Amino acid sequence: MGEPAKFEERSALPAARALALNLVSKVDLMRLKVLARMHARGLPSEFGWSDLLQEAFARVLDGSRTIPKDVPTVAFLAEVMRSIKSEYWKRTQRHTLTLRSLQAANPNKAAILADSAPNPERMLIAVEEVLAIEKLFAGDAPARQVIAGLYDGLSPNEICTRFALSTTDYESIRKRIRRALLKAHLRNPQ
Amino acid sequence: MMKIERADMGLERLLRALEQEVLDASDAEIIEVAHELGMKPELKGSSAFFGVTMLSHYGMATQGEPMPNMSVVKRDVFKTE
Repeated sequence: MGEPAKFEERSALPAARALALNLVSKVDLMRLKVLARMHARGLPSEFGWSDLLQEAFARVLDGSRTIPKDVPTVAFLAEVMRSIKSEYWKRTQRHTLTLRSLQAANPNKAAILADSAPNPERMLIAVEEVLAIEKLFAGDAPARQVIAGLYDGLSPNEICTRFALSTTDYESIRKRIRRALLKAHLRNPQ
Repeated sequence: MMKIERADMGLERLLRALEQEVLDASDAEIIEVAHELGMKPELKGSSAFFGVTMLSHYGMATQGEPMPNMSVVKRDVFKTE
């Protein structure tokens, strides 16, 4: 059994503890900051990207999520963040369904909510999220085309065919997309 | 304009693809962008790590002081049932 963690280590943010344990590098942390910002959009405003990121690290550090041997740590943490966000929306959906069944039991108050699956709030926020991503590429029409193709679930080949792009064009657009994402999400709010 | 029916599914596909782009970005590319933003990630206490290894909430980022574990404080939000 190792030595008990010092107070500073125990009280540090989970991401800082993971860095101290060499679970991730400093560049990985920047990569994860970008991913956390991307995934935290659509969560309630009082729970920011930092909370999402620290929670993902906490789940790995406390053993509630185990990193599979063949999956890189950063990719796994990204998956954990996605699953945390998905859990949040599932809980919201359950609350909506409970409210709907309560209203069904009381006909006088029924018909307030339309029967709608999926959750309309989720749909609205998803549209806002997509628009926010599109806005990052406002001055770059080819990048917006690639974004539209990815949204539709097209493969790189299908995107090139649909928008008459060469492989070189596509790779160059991918690079612009990566840089725009990194720039937008590494920047600290003013 | 993208189709908006089942925007959640389109968004999920898009986020996964963009996530892969960020995972594929080289270390050099990330450091270069950080420098362009005026950050010096090679320094301890760089603003690149606000909210990651240092608190960024409510201007509480401090150096040399033990930090409260904000993640634990807020874990109720993400609790599984």
